[in-house]
Amino acid sequence: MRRARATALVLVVAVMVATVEARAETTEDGLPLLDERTAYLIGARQFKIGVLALEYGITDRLSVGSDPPAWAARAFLPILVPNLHLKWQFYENERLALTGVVAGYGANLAEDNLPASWLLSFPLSLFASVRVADRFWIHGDGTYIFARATGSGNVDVDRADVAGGAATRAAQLGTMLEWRLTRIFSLTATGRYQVYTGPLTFNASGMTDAFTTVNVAGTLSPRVEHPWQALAGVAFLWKHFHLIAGGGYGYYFIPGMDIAIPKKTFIPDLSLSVIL
Amino acid sequence: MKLLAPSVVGLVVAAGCGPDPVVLPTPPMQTEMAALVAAYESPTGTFDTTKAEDTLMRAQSRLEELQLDWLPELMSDVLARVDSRLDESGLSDDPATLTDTDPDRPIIDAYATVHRICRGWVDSAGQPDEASNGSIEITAVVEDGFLSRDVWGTATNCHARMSPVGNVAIDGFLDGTVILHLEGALTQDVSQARFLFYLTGSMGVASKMASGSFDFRFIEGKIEYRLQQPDGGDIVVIIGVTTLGVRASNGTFTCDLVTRTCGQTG
Repeated sequence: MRRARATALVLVVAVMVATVEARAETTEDGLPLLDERTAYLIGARQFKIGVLALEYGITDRLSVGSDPPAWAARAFLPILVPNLHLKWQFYENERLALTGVVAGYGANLAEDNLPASWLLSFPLSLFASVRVADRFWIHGDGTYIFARATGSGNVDVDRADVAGGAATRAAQLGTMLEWRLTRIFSLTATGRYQVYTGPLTFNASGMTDAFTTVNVAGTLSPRVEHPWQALAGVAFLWKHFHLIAGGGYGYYFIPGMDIAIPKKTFIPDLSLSVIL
Repeated sequence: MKLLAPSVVGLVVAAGCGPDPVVLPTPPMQTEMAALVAAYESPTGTFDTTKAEDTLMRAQSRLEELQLDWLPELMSDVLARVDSRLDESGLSDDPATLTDTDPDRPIIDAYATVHRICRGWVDSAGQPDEASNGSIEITAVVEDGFLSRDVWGTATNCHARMSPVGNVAIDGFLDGTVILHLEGALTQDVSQARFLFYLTGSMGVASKMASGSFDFRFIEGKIEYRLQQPDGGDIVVIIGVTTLGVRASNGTFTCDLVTRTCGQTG
């Protein structure tokens, strides 16, 4: 057991050392760029392993990734949520970057022994990052979430209920102010507001025997129509290790899926990632 | 910046897209059903024990029209199927309780429709034939987590065959608008069902049909029905093995079907 631990420690250190020469995206004057919830990408042939995102840079302007929290939700929810996203930076100059993100999440809402019924959620986001001063950025995003549950099997609304929240149609606006105090250290202030909340519609039908056909149709609507959050934090953008930490108040938005949990509370904010 | 404007417009347009919200169907004849429920709860007619024989004869005549030897079981069976579907969907099957007591749960509006082809009067192999057997379609609504008390639908030329335990099969017929007012939670146990049945249309057995409005109340195997009084108002008759119970505005009574006499009990 001791040998296995030592081997694991050596591997971790080796990975950290080996990544020293790797490179995350930087500005022309050498400042590393914050790539989470901004219009910036990790860069071509970069691989990011993080708590909130797995990301691979196909080119400088295109990356593909998946959200580990959605997969990890299987540990405490009765559903598995496979997901994938594409991030495409379609415009960039010295001051402005514009990026679109298309994501897809799926979850089988039927009980294990019943025909599948899928909840499909597609958050579509537009990110804009503006470098308003040498060490000051304003990042903004607008997100529309298209969600629908459908299938020939049975929809169990308990499975679509995530701590009182649900993947419903929604439009959100977010902004982050970033003040770079040193080359790698920033103070951040983040706000998010759901401007529109629509229902999640579901519809499932099937035959229970040769005589009987049943159909269930309905909607789930979050009880909080306009959730919001305000966070303050710090970001450390070392070459190969990014740490974002902070906290705030409001409604917690599940990262990636952007589902708001309808309880106002203290919100911790933590993201760790290694860029290989 | 030229690129920003169309992108923002696109986002705003997208916000209006998506599937239309589900519109919950509304039960028919809500006013009539409310009056019917009240008629069972508080009968308006009076009962005169000196006219017991007349009342018992009219009660027997109405009883024969109501098809109570097969219809409650058919309705309980349909409700059990609605119950299964609601339960599998995580929806409430009790009109008295919310789907979930957590107030932070999303607002759930839904409806379940059960379409059942009737068994037909001829047992045949293969798939059931809806054209000849007819059907019953029943809809239940869950609004903001609560199951609505009125479950309703249409019986279309329904040729039903029920087989009460120990008895020969009964061929029943049903056609018209059906409303089932739930008096308790839906259940899989037919004998535990609690509902008020109302039909406007036709029903009967092969040898005898009747048209009009029919209603009775089924409470865990106990059956009650309304009986119009000649001097106005309704009384409620409760079926027993050797007795009939009567609830009227002037009290409760028990009638002995052997001696044909009635006495006030409350």
